[in-house]
Amino acid sequence: MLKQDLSKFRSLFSGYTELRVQENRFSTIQLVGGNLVQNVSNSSTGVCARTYKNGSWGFASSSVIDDDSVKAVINASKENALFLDNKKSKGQGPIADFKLTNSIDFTTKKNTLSRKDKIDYIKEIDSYIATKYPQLFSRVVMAVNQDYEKNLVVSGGVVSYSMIPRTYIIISLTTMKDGKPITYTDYTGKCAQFEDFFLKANQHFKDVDLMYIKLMEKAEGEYAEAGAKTCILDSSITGILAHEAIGHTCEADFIMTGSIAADYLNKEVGSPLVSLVDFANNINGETLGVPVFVDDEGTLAQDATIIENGILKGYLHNKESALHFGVKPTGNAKAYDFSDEPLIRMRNTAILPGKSKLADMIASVEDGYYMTKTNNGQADSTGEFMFGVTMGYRIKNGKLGKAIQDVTISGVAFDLLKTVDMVSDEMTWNNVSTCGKKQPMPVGMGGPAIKCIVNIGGR
Amino acid sequence: MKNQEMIKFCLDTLMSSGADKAQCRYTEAEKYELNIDGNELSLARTTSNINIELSVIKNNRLGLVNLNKNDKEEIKAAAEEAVMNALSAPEDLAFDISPTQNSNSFKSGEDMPDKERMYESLNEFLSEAKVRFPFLMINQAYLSFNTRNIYFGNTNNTFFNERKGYYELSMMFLSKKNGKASSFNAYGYSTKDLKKSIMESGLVSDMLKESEEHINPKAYEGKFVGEVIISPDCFEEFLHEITRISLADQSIITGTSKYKGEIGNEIASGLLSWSSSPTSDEIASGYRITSDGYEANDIDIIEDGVLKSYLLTQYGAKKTGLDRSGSSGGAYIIKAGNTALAEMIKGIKKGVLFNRFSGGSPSSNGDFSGIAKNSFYIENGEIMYPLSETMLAGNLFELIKNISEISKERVNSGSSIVPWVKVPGITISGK
Repeated sequence: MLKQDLSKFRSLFSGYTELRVQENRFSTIQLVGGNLVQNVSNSSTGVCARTYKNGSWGFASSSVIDDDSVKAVINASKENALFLDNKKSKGQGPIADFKLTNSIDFTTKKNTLSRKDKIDYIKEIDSYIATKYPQLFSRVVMAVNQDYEKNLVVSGGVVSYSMIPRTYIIISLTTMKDGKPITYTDYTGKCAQFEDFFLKANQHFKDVDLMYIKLMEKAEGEYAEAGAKTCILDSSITGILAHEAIGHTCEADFIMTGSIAADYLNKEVGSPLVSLVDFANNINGETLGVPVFVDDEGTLAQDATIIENGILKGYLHNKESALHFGVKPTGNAKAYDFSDEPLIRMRNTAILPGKSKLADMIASVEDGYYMTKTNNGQADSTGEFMFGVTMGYRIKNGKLGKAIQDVTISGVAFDLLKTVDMVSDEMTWNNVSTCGKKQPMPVGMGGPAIKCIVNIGGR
Repeated sequence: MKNQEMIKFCLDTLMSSGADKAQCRYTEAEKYELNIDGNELSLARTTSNINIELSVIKNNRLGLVNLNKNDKEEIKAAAEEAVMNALSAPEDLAFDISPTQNSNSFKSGEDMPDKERMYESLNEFLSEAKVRFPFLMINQAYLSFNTRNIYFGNTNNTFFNERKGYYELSMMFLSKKNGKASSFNAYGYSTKDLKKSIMESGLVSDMLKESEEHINPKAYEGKFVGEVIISPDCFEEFLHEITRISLADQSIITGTSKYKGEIGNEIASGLLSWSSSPTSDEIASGYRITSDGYEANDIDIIEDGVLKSYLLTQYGAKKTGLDRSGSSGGAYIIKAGNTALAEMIKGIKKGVLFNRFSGGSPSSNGDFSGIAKNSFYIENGEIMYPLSETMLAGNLFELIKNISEISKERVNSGSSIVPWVKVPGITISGK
């Protein structure tokens, strides 16, 4: 059913209906101190249907995929919609119901590697660390493959098939300093299966060497001072800022339920140096880390400009919110699993590069910090955010100083953006993140380095 | 296939695929759920899913496969893949399945959702919230009824079955008035039935009230070291972080745990007694089968400040030579204290009522810093104003050592029973 045309079931639909067969396949290999602590493959397959009735939704799903089960799921979704509509009809009008056909498949064309080959690849990286840096207290090497395969039909005539993979590796090195563990973590990911991304284990060795240098710097690091400081936020942190602190507040479901950005459309929310886009699937022809071509409501995915030269230009929509705001949806409705309904999600969100050189940006700071790595972050309806920063350096009189220990930075996103006075001319992407908005969803986030003022929660 | 036969089929298939030892966990999960979006009922959902977890030990190597299909051919293919996964893995003598135990069956909660009562509960809640909290906006909420039917078996002839039914409410909300919005907040609880209204359950009404009070927060100006009263929700989150960095397998095996070698020693305030009680009747969403295939036990983690147990699985225990804990963690119960919450607040010269932590995961040395969300500034025993842009920093291990008061009152969220906890020595920094 994953590759069959599901159009034959359209005759069972009542009004606007989506029917989706989906399979998620995950594989994790994790070595901790050379011990294989995770060696697991998961798959989750099923069918779901979602029916719209006057503004109420019914949803049903099952892990059994055969004709009877598909029919049962369609009927259950209709009944669920009717249950709510009969209790209290909202009288809302019809939502967009497109007609298009799409097929995209990133399955590798190479011979599939065996489990043993993949474990050997990870072991080779682990062995390199163990041999070259035996003095480390501990080390973790983890490789993750995720395949998302979806087959969708929608009542208006959408027929869409996609197989979108993601592969990434995370390496953590830990040393002890004065009886306390100090850890440095790095990662890299791509829209590809293992075979198309991990070619030779030694491609990671120079990254490991660089990680060790940074770990040693961090071990000698100092605690950051608390308070508002001028900071250079490198792309890893700019990306999470774009996603957490700005992107979420501009998702239309939050806009309709109290996000502060509801009051800022077409107003200045940042310096003119700041532009922010949620990209659908590519930049200049290069496929991004988490591409969407047709979303899970059957909308053709297009880039969505959120901020342009400091002005808030638009929100991120699904079909229902687009109807409410009188705009076209841009393909931001995604579901994680077969048992999930599509929600408004970001895809590949980034602040756009500017014209400054990173070296000049650092040289311009008298007293502040250069923050380079983050481990997670959260944001609020008010635009207030916080991020854990796991690597950074003091800047004093335009020069990099000692590294800093783990710290949290915070601020109000739209206030911070107004303090941005330099934006670097290069950008990188983080393709390993997962957004936890009700359903865990792979997301891409990226950006250049930016110079701004943030609050630091030091000691 | 019936479920008991399913387990036997899986185990037989794993052995005939070449396993030395095998284990299987088969779960049937059903859910009926009503969703609220933007203060209105929006979606009704029914889902059913199965999960089969196949584990294989071969030549002291471990292979795992999860699938959600119960078709015989799919299970055979998955069994072969599990054995291949094992053959590709390095040898580790600590890999094993649980030993022979008496078979047992467990049942808790209702069998079917009361759909009409679920609809009424949410409707009553929305109507009452509209009157009592006119500026409240519920971004999303869901009330679900979940059944889990778990069958566990291994080739040491251990068989368990656990069937549980429970309701779960989860909501995310904020308040907005005159163009100003509070922080969003989130709360959830689980329960075995719907006898209590939503508004009367857990901390629901307290948090909705605080949400409206938070429409006009102020940032604290400056920085100080003060006393903090940590809410039950927030303290439970800290307990999970302490588990992750110092009690669970990985932290003990790698040696990064702060509590290595400390069993029997005083590592926390004498006021703190902390248990993991997955079989307690007071815990709605507990469990009876551990992740490593044993019948679950309730255990003391800390008793009167003394460390009694880690949370080691069989693998962690074999790896370290230490005792296996009887629990897989969670279902935390903290013993009630002696001080009323109101008295705890009155006793604070300068501090914070800390309701939600928004921060990065604490590092393995226990250091944390983050924003105090939905929190309040206290001065001379009085709650002065709601806080914004105010950060707290400290160390989790020092925090539980320095607990100075624990409240008489506790909150049962269905997954934990936790009081308020007062701690000195926390760095609080605002603008």
